[in-house]
Amino acid sequence: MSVNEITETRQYLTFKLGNEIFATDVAKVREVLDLTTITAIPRTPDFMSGVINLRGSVVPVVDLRLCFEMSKTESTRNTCIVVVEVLLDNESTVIGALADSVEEVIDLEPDQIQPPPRIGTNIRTDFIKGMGKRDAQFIMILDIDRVFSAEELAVVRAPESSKQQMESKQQMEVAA
Amino acid sequence: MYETNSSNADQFRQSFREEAREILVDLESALLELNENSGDRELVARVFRALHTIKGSGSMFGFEELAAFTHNLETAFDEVRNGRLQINSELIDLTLAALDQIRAMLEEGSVVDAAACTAILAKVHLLTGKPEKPPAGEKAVTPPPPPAASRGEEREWHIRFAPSPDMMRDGTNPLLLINELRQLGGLSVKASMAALPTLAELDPERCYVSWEMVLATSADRDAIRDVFIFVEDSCELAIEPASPPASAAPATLAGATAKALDEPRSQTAGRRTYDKPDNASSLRVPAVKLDQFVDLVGELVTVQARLSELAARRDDSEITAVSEEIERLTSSLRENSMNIRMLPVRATFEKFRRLVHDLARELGKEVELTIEGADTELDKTVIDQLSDPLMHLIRNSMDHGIEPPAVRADSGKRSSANIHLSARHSGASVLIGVSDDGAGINAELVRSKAVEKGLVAPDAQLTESETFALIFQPGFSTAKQVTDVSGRGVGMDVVRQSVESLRGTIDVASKPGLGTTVTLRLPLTLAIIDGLLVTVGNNYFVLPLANTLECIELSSEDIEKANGKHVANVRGMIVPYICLREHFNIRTLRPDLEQIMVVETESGRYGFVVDQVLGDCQTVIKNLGRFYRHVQVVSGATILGNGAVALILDPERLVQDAVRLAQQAEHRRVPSGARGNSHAREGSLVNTVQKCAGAVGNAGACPQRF
Repeated sequence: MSVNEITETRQYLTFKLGNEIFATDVAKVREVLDLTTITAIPRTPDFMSGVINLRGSVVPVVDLRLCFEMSKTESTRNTCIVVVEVLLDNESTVIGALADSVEEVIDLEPDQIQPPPRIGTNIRTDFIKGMGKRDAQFIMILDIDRVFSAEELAVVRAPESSKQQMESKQQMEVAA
Repeated sequence: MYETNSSNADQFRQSFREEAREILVDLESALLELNENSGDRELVARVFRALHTIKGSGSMFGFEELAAFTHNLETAFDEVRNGRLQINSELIDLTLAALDQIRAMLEEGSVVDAAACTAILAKVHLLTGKPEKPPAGEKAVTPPPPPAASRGEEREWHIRFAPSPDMMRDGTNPLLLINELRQLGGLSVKASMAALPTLAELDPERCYVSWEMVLATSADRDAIRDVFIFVEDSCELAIEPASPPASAAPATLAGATAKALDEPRSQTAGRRTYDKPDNASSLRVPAVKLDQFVDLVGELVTVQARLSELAARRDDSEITAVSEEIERLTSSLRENSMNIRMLPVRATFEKFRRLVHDLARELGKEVELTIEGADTELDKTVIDQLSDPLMHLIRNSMDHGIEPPAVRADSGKRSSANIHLSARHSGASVLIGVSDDGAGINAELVRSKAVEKGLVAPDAQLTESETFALIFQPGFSTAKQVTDVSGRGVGMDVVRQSVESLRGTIDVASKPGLGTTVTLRLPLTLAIIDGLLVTVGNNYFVLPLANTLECIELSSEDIEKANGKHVANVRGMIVPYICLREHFNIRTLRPDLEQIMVVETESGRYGFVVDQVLGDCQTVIKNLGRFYRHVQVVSGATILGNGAVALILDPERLVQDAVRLAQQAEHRRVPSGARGNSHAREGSLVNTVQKCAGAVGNAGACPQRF
């Protein structure tokens, strides 16, 4: 998925993580919830915050800030859960993503979107579909399927790259 | 032969297809049993009946080609039945091949391999020594055994036949059925018009008439039933012997008829009765409807839990009474709905007889399949997903495990090998075993292959079960060459994935030269469990009730007395316990009095320390989904009455997890010089094993918060 595939005007939901503005295709968003009780699942990595009760179904919640190597999300009045529907191993899965605040829905023309710069962002570039510009602000358009895809999670899963874990990871890749 | 309108015709053809497929499965297993047990007349009769039914209903629903083909097979088995033809493996193989053709003919729009059919028939005729003959002019129901043959004396049957009002709409003509009865013997018929409405209300497409008949025939009850075989579901049918047996005296016959027919009709039309109790309880329902039903019951259970909680808070005796009533009803509704979904594994197991038979032939090995516990019941969803892994396990056993007859003879074994499929309950799980008496797994070979493929470090120390777990890795195969049976290293990976998705575990035991046993431990059901609701801090957990033995208190004094050891004394028995607060890293204050839930696991009794036990609850298991599929200790989640999410713990995995952590801690305590670089090795091993054997018991978890 790259910026070249964005050929028409689309609507994006923008949200903030820290001071950074992110966006995701509105078509992927199911709903936006106020922060509710998140039940942590024991013995899982930190970025997997836990699960919530979404009208009777159990939906996993991810701390996006931890995925992007920011600090853990603090609960504030503006904290929201953006419920998105993503493809995980070709299976449609509903996942909640924690956002510091949800901003608005905007239209972006294809020519307002540029490919992500190779350097200069502290977010992994392959998570970003493109960079939108609006007024004086840059908006990072996320490839949300990619963010949650299994392999990406496996990599994020071992953030502290101690020597041992690196070794074991290589071992894992060989195994795969 | 029956009038059908087109949409109904399609529907009937479809239901014929379904039924025929079932009959074929039964037929296949009967044939294979017959192969081993050729003298069994009951089996011959079973085969004959199945062929007969397929032929009859085939021609009835327009599968003329199929009926003609089946007729020839039926003729052959008629010969067998009459003792003129001996069962031999050639006939069995031919019939099995013919079954495949029949199966092909059943599929819509399929092209039938006419040459193959002709070849099969030619061979069959060679065996029977009879020329091919079409079922000329034969009716769907045949063959009326030659009257006054050795089939026993003629007797009278009292038949009450009340078609459902909609029978004619389905395209069935009751008159034709009655005419068929006439072919069996002398028939006197009386139609009952009692249900006939006035002309204004009369719907000409409905059938209001029922019939009372007395049939004098030498045919037995089954033959009479066969006439009605296709309408059994849509009519009220009673076949009773009229006593005394007719002595063929016309006067008596007439008298009996008159008497029988004068009996007042006591049954109301529309209600179905059958003279065979088995039938009364079977009903064909689309699986989707069943799933919806169970989903709804699941929702109901959740709502009921909410109501109970509300009632408990309100302190209103009337509400409490209603709530308790509803709880009781919900509970039995839940049990019933789960039972509906429970099916015996027999069909799944029996299916493999054919596979074993064919594969044995192909591989030039002698293998017999024995089955144990085929009546063990399992949830439909589990059964549906069981077929694939079992197939791969059996193929694997046959190709790799079992030696060729010559090799077996050399090592002093019976030339005919055995594969044993078994199923039995064990607590809330079912154990499915596939054992063979073959060569066993060569642990050294597995190990060297794994090292060669870079799956484990050359100096890794593996336990036996860890070594065997390696065979479930994708791409792993010890076969030197790829055959079309196995060797690509895909099959065992499929087994692992399927079992993993069922939240089951795999256990492999193998003795060189003696054989291999693979045991799959699967949950009984995937939908609802009985559990105990407990809390630790602000977290709710559910422990499966089936494994829980008792609940004892743990005070801070007890902890002091044990000097920090996590061991409790339960009436003199030493029970090690796992403190969930510590294990899950829950940062809340430890209360003075805690509870130990004593749980029976495969590896013995263990305790889980929790803050409080809130009580039992029936919970609908909500899958945590793909996102959390690596999580081992939690088997699902459930939503409580107050809207909170409670996690359902998996005691087996929890114990394994704790044991593994303890072992790691143990390793860490050993001075690093003494063990070399065992740390790195441990890490890599844990990860490798986890990758390959998420389901194989001792799986490691990914780097966690701990």
